Amino acid sequence: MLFSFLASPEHRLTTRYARLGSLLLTGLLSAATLQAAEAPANTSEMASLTPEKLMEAVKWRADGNSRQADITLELWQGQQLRDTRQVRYLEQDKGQSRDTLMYISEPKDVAGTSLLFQSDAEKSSDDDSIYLYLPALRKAKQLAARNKQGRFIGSEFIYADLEWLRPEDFSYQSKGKVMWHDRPVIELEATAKQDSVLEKTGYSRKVLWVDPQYQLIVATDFYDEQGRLLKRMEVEKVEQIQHIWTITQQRMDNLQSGQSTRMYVKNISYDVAVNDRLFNRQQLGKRW
Amino acid sequence: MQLIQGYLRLLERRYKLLIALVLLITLGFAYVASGLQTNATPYFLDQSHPSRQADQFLKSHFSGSGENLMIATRTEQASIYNADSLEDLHKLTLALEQLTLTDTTDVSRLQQLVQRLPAHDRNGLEFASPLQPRQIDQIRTLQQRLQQVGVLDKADQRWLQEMQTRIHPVTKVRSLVRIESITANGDELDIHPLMFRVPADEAGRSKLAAEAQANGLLRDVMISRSPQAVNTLVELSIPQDDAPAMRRMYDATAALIEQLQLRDHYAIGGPPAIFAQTSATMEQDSNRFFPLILLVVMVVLGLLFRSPRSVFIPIGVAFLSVIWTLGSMVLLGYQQNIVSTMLPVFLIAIGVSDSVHFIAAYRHSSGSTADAGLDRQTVKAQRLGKVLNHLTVPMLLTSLTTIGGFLSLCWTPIHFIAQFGAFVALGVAYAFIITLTLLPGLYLWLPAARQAEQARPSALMQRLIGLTQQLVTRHTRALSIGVVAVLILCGLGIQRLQIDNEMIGYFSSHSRVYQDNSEFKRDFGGAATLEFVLRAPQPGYFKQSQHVAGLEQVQQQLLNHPRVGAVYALPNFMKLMNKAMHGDDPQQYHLPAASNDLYAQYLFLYENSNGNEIFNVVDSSYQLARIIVFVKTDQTSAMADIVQRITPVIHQQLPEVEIIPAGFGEVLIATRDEIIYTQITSLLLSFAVVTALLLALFRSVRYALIGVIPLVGVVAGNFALLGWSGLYLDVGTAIVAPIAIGIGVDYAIYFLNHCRQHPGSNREAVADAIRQQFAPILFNTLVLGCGFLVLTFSSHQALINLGWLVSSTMLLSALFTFLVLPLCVLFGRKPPAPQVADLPGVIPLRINGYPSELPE
Repeated sequence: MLFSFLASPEHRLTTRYARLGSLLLTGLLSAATLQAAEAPANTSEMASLTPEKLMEAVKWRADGNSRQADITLELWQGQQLRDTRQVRYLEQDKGQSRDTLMYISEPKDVAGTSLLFQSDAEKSSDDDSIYLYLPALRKAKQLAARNKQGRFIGSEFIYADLEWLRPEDFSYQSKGKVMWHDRPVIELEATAKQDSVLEKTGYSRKVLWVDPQYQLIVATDFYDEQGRLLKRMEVEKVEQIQHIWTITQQRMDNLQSGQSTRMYVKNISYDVAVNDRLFNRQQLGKRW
Repeated sequence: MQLIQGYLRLLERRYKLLIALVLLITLGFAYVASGLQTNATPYFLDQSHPSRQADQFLKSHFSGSGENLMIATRTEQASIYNADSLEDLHKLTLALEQLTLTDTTDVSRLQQLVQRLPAHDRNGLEFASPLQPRQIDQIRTLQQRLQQVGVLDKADQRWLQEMQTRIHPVTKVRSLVRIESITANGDELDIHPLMFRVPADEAGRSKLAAEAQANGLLRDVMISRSPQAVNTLVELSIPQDDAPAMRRMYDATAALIEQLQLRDHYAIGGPPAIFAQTSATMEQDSNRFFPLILLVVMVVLGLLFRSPRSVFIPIGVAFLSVIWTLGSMVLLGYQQNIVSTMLPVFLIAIGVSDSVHFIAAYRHSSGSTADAGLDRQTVKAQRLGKVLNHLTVPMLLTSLTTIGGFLSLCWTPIHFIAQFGAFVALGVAYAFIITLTLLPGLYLWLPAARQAEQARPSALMQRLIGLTQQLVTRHTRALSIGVVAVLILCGLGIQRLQIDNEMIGYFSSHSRVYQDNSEFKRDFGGAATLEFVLRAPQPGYFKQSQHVAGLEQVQQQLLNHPRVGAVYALPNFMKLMNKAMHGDDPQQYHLPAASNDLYAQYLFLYENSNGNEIFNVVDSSYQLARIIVFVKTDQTSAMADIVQRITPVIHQQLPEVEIIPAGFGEVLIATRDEIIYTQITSLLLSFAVVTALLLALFRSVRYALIGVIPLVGVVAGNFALLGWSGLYLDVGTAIVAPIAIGIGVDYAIYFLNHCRQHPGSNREAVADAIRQQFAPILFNTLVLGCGFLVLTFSSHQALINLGWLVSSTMLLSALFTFLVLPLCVLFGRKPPAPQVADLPGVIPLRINGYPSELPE
């Protein structure tokens, strides 16, 4: 296994819980803020939370107000590297909403394609807006938000895996503490609450492993609509960047098709200066 | 001869030991044969065959490429998009997704296996009835843990593997509920299941109907042009060779439809349905026919010999040869298959032959060897000695020719036919061995039977013999003209011969599978599929507009073929996308105008919008494309014609790509091609073996040729029968010609040897040979012909054709022996007869009063 945690396990997060934040990309730049009143002070407090609260804590983990990175996605078919994607990533939180912009520079035939993801924590995820700009058409098309089973730029991650964490979609049951690659983690079983969740995600059930120290989901098993194991996400590398524990390498294995995606995150910066005008459908396609 | 004498002495002293030995071997084989397993694959070609490998290649690169069971729904209401029908379709989809092919015994066995694990390893392995598809993960875990602990034997491992298929037989259900639809919703591109929920009101149902009917991609594949019908594709996880699981799936689906009390009419079709029913019918028939053929052969033997002993002994010999053969199959690591289920039927019909010769000769010898001065046992031994002296070599030769005929079937890539040929040959050899060991022993052991009355030949028989003699010796010219006329008819018949196969055509038009199939032809593009995989030189090839346009041209050409009902391919997706990108304007259902990277970006948009079904027709690197052709018939010639016509079009439109025909249709085509190869090789080999044996026997090229010529006529007649009757030369009927040679040459051997040893002129020799050989050959023909006619009681046309054809060919063989063989002898100069001592002592059958003296 490729797990190598660069940061010291003894390290304590210095960033206090800010007002906003969360995961657009659960395992991508996983950092968020927790409402101060609800925020657990340390690992043991995290571990003692109810499953729902624990998920809320993960959602609201601190990660600054904006973030920027370069992402490489490797698409594998079994042991064979099939394709590579290069994505420039920019995200900003504004109040209860979050805007995410992605610019695809490789492969060449879709270079210039851009994605704008707009989400509001106070609204249903069905109300999210997803725009995809196609340079060949010179226009942006909106994607349906009620169904997020689409493959994120052809990878094994679907939009539902990468959306802002929605703990309310699932009911949780704690399976207690277990060891995961020599680290204590909390195992949670999550079951879809409604048909609409099934329609949106295609997942009937998930099993999650939450690292209370990192406040990160470090692994997830995804079960399909028939309850069969479909995919497995595993974090392979966590680094501390600007005092924020950040996942810099992870993989998603589709256990039914044999395909997998490895995601590498580089050049990460938090709290970067962002031009608000970029997060506009009309501006899509422009490289920043 | 010395060997035979030695064997006789041993027999006289140790006959009981010999009987015991045969019975002991039989018990051993019976025990081993009880472990005979069935390879119920409906495919005649091995997985290593290129057509099967192409199929595997297809399955490993495309989604939706598992075996698809089709379920057509037709309502009597004006539209299927009514509340009841949609409710039922929704219910059926969910039920199919939860379907397992398991029962309570499976739960018990799983629980027993869990108990083998240490207590701390049993966590998460709870099995209770009913099992759910999602428990496949638990079964995998159980298998892993049992392996780790080292308590998993091979049988359990195999069973757990099979359980993984049975607990989760359905990979995906593509119905209105699940199939993706691409539409525009305002400015939004919406890729969604066509009907995730049943619409609550009429407006919703009308919208659904309009959306479904406007979907050009699914038209004739899932959405009928008639608003009254829709199709559901149930992709199975069952391996294509696993016919028993396919059968269980077919039965379970039919039962589910009943159980859910669905209101519309449901038809089940597709290759899995046909394979399941073919396999079921053939297995049921062959099980039923085994006792039936025993009965028929016993009746014929009873009529011939009119003695219970002479009925049960030959049947017993044939029965033992069956047990030995089945036991040998297990010992050699073979399984029973769809063709070898007929093996007992063949062995019973053929296996009695040697013992019939033996009994006939023994009965005949009774009068000439009786000696008042000897005790009964010595008399029996003397009679047996004479019979063995004079029968061993001819029986060996005739057995060898039969073995040769069947062994010639081994040189074929259709491994089931090869195995069938090899094991029938082995069975014939066993029948020969058992006849030479058990029969003399039994005759020495059993009390002497009351000598059967030497019946006078019946008036009818005498008349038949007389007519034949007259026809051959006095009306030679007329007979010759008649033979030439028959041969011309044969030639004309052969011109009409079709090498073809139509699996659905083998079922009665009243059978459910046949009638259901008709509904797929009427309402959809058909239930048979032919597929093409196109391999491009580089990834991304099928994202380029000119290549998608090339595919579109291919698709149009395919749709022009009269037998093609629908085509499912990449251009349809692009056209649907283009329509959705233009606000669902029906006028925009065409390929988008070519421009740089537009197609790639459409596809990118599709993938990001929850589109998955496209990977049914392209691989994820866009280097491979798949064209699925729905054909109205599963007739192989139609499939081959489509391939032949479309291949040049593909080469013209997409010159860089490699074409790999694949799927069900390609396997059918490949099977047909292999039948042609098999037929040629097995015929050549049969003729070679038979000619060699005739040369060895008569030591005369002329006599060998005379022996072979009628066989050529028989083979021609066999093909002409197929041609004139409109039956296909297929996997079943292809085995008849070499068998006819192997069995038919026996008649020639008896007849020619008699002619050759006759001291008179050719004409006298022929007349005498007819007198001597007519009855035994006729009776042998009756035994074989009536035996194989049993197959015509099958409900499967392939077996009916086989039974009818083998029986007719046996009759034809007898006719050629009586009419053509004498002509060949008469037209030639009679060669000097060889010294009797040089020739094996071939004697004719003597049954019911047609004796010729056994040489003393």
